[in-house]
Amino acid sequence: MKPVPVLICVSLLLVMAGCTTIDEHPAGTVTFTDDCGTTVEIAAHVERVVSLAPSETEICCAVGGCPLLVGRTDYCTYPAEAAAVETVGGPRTFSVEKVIGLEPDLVLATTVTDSIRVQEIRAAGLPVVVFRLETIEDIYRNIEILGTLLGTSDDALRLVADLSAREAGIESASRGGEPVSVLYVLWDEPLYVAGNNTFQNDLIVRAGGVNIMSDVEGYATVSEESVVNRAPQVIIASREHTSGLSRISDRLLSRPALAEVPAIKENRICEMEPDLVNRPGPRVISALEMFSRCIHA
Amino acid sequence: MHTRLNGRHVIVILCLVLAAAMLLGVVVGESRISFTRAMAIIGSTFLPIPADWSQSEESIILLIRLPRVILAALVGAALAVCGAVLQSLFRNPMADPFLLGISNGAALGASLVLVTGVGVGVGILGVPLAAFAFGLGTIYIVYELARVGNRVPVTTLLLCGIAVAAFMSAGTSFLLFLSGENLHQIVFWLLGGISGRGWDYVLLLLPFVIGGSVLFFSISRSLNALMFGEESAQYLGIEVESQKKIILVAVSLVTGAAVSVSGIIGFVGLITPHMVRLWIGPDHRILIPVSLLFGAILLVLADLASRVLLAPNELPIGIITALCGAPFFAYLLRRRGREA
Repeated sequence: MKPVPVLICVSLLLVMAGCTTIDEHPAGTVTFTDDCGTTVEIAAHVERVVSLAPSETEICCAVGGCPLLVGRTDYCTYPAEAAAVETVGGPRTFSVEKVIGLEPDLVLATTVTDSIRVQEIRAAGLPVVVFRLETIEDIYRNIEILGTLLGTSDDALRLVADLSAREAGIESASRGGEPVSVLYVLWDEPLYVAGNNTFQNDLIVRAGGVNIMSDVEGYATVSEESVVNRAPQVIIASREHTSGLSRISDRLLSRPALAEVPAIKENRICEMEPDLVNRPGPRVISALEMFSRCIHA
Repeated sequence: MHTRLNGRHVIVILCLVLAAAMLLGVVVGESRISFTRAMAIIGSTFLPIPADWSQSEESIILLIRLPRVILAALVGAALAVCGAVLQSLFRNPMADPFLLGISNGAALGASLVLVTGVGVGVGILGVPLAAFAFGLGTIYIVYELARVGNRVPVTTLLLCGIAVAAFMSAGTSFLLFLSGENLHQIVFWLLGGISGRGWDYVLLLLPFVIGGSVLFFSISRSLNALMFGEESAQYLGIEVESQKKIILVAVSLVTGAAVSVSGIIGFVGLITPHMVRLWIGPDHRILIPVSLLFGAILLVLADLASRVLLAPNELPIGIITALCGAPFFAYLLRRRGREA
């Protein structure tokens, strides 16, 4: 239902990109309908970009747009080049004034960005493009669109080809074997885990695993008992941002109640850099590779 | 119309109900383990029963359900008994164990550890220890602010409590704002719960609950006297100020210990003593043990509901206590209103 108009929209853009140069379009603008259905008029030659989401910052830099970046959020710390850019605040608490003051000709946001602030920026006459990122395909699409908007289509297409080749490699390697039961833990006390319809679930399945919590919707707190009862063979845990606390894998390993869980008995716990999985950006394929290595270790 | 129930009978009955509730808590759960098998597993810890069960079943019963049920009972008992004592001390029906800002202080302490990661080396106990220390620190500040010479007027104490609590909770909110990607850890703590706490936490809380309960029971006559007002109590030979001090210190320690293991579980400490008063009257010699038992039963059942209703999801326990307790309490109030 949704993919069809989106596909048309993307291919139209690609066609436009193919023939659009500033010279051929003296008006100097392109129009584009974003994932929320808002039609945005954007300069054909974008020079100043503000990103309001870490994933957009990563994608923007991955298609070679880093030099155009003039504003980012506090959490946009990757790549290092982006971290040097001026920040406008948190993804949901940023200063609208500051964004407007940076005089961007393109503002990037996702459906996670505070929508009221997005409205305010639009009211000030600035073009905001909002992306909805729920699957790996959404990320590829986002990369291609951004490449088109920033005039770096070739880089974007090359990146997507590279990422999807890596993805296909992992998926074909993990096909066929015995499915491995996996638990993804975001936080250990209480046990906060990834259920169905999460990026983590998607990665587990693509890497050839079975999420033992797939009957739980979204992210949820679950009982220790359910983990013991469902006996995962592998546990993948988010490494916390706070460096001072003990490591999450050590805490899980030393928890007496979980001692009988196969993953813990056989010490098959992997720690994931949370940014890799939590940010629907180009590094998701690296996350998929880590999932695959961990599940098939 | 109704004669007051005989206190001793009520206590015996509640003991039996608590035992039954705890048994239910141990037997019911996601993995189906039969009653006899569950009993055999528990029995095997002190009797030579041959094991015909799996290792996971043993850890589910002995390391997950049993400590959890006991912890629920201890937390419920602690909050209810502290609520009962404070309501009498302040002669204020709105008083609960979190009144003097102890929960706000504890929340700030826990959040600080979760955000900054200070307290390395104490392992899993970093958060509960910080919560405990900050909770007690808060009470101390409130007490010192409210103190006029050697006396601590109740109204001043309550007002200082409100002011300091607001300050502490602003601190927590600020940390929440700063916490970014650690946000959910703090939110979990603030929601409260007793899932995933093992025997360590039981041992942490047990001495406080036993010590506190014995103390409160031993001063129940003074509490009865205090119900007539501080001045009357003074005439009845009660050393009001020193009693007040003892009660405040004891309540702080017990609540602080409970909050540090369970986070903030509202409602139990506020409503349980009221329910009990409506049932058995205001005599503290009965009110205290009955509140203790009733709070324990309430929380054991609430915890059971929290993990069974949407299994394997766990609901925050505070949602259950308030969702079921509030309408029941309203019913009790209305009924009493009609009888009066």
